Amino acid sequence: MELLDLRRLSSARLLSYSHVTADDAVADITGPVLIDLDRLEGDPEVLDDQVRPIGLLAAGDADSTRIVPFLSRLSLIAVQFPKFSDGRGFSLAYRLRRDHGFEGDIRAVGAVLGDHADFLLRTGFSSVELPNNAAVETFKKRLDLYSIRYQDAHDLRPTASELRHGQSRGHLAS
Amino acid sequence: MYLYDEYDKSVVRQRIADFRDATERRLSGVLSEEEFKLVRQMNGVYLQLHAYMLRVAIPYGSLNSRQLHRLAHIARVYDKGYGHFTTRQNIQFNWPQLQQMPDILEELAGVDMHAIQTSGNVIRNITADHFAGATADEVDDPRPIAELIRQWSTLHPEFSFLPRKFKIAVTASAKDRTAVKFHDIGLVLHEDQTSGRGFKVYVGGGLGRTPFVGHKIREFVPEAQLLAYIEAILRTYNELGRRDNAFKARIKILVHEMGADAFGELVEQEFSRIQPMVDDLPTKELERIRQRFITPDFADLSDTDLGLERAKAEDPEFKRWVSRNCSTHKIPGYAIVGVSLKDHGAIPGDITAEAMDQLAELGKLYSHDEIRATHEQNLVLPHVKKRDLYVVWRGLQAAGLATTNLGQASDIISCPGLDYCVLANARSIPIAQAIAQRFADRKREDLVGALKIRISGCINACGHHHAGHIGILGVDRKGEEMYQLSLGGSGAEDAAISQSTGRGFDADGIVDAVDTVVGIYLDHRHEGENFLEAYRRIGPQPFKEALYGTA
Repeated sequence: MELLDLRRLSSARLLSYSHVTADDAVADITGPVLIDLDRLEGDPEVLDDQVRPIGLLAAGDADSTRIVPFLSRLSLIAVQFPKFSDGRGFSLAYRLRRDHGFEGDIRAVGAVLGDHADFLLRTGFSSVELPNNAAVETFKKRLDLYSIRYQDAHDLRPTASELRHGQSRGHLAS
Repeated sequence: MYLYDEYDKSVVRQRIADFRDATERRLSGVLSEEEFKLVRQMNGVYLQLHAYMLRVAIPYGSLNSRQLHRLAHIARVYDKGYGHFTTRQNIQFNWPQLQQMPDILEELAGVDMHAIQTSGNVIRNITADHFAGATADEVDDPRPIAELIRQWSTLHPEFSFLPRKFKIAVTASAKDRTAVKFHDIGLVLHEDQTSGRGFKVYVGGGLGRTPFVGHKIREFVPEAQLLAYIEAILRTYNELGRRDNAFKARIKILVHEMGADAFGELVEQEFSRIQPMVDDLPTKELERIRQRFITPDFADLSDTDLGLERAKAEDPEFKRWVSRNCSTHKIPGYAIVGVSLKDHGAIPGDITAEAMDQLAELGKLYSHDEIRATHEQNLVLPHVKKRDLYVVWRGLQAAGLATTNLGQASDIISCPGLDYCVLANARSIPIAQAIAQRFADRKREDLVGALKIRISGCINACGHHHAGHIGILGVDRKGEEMYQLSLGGSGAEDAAISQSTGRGFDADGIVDAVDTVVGIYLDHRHEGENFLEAYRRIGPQPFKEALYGTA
């Protein structure tokens, strides 16, 4: 598996997380861990370890309100795409950024295609897990395919409407 | 017509480059058909029974003469010399080669057209009243709003992988010519003394295998907040719409299963989250779009044209055409000309390249360079001076486009059916042709008056049979093509779903059955009562008795 930082177009600063399955004891694993939402809800003391980076693996259809109690302690939310035609993950990421102000890494994992690249970046994803280097190259290429966008989205590039009216983004610029 | 600016052009050009790259990868075998499917669908390319098919978007049905000439050119060079207008105001080409698709898209881009999102689980072509900007019964021209939604929905980052396709219609008239209540979202512009201008919002309407009339979830959304409200609907649907079964994935099923009130409540919650972020850009942008629509420079004319009256008196054929095919224009001295693509025995919606060229010329000379496509698979010249009607009629005759039957028995909506479509269970075009032939006797057709017959070749209902006064549904019964008859549907402001009469008929039997039903109507009707009104008064029983006997 290869990782790509959608903003920096590299994998240099990204952390790799070890997926903790239901039977694993977290203490036996060193380094960053990725935990399912069910496990996290049943076993919240995992979060007591204040040093270790902790990531949450969320299905694309996960209710964002279930994730909220853990947000401040998470450094990564990995959003699982079960099929490449299943677009629920885009709304989840958008909500995590907009409704809940999550500033950590949101990573797309699972059935992710180059066709998703631009949309992922714009709905608030910051990284993606891809099967191989060829897929990484396709992804990079497709991120730059469209210079004009009609919709106001999470990325701060100006929309067609803003360019037309010489206005910059008000509410999303931080 | 909305004129593209550099940004609109850029989006279309970049999309073509993207699609060309994917097509080349498919042709060289790098992409599998499965992987390619996602890309081609979002660019309007279908894999049909015999070949790839390209569906070209005609936003809100508006064309200028250059665009229609270009469609004719594409039909001639890349297809078999004709095109097929659809029930979403689009045009389809049934025979282009896959390797030529990117070139066709370049041809389209040259006249500010595209095929983006005419297929796939995305927000599809935005439809609007085909009389927009011409009819006296509208609050305002709804097309700038439709264009605002077109741009917002084009390559939307969050809503390009929806559970299922998503259709939006906009009208600004109480007289509905868009089937607004049979859409995923139907928008009706209205004006109110206290609140100003805004939209009634219907959701969850649709035809297909489970037809529903849309539910009104909002009486009034202010114009400036419309996109935010639509976004709230789409987000709710994207998150909650069923993805376990493609047949239950449309928003109408979600709305039906959870109830329109509960759905509306979720939308309101989401809307209240988004609303504070709405700035004044949509208002400014809408104003810009309005300015980029060319408003025709109408002449100051008397509403009565003596030449027209004389021509009508001298030529009864012409008089009949004027009364059937022409409608009232908002400007005195002008008329809206309907162009039927339903010549008796022809394929509904089909038009040759030559006829497209001829119509484009007529539109350029006599209709302020505007031509419209209707969801009933016909065309319109929206702004014709009454004094030019006779010469336009002559021109239409020369093009084979002067069929006088709009809104009548032979003006049938039909899907392509088993002759073209992979999904169909039965042929629909030959049934439409046979019924139209049955009404080829003008006296009888005029006697029957307003009648909407709709034919679908399978339960996906592309021929809108549920919305027909008379609906016909093709089914496969043990290898035989059978047809079910239903009555009493309407796609207008009094939207209703047609009800089945009972057991089906074979291909010959269904044509006789339609004849029988029309006969019962003629026997029972009151003075001035059309088919639908009579059906609503007398109910299905007399029709059933005539079809199946009293036993």
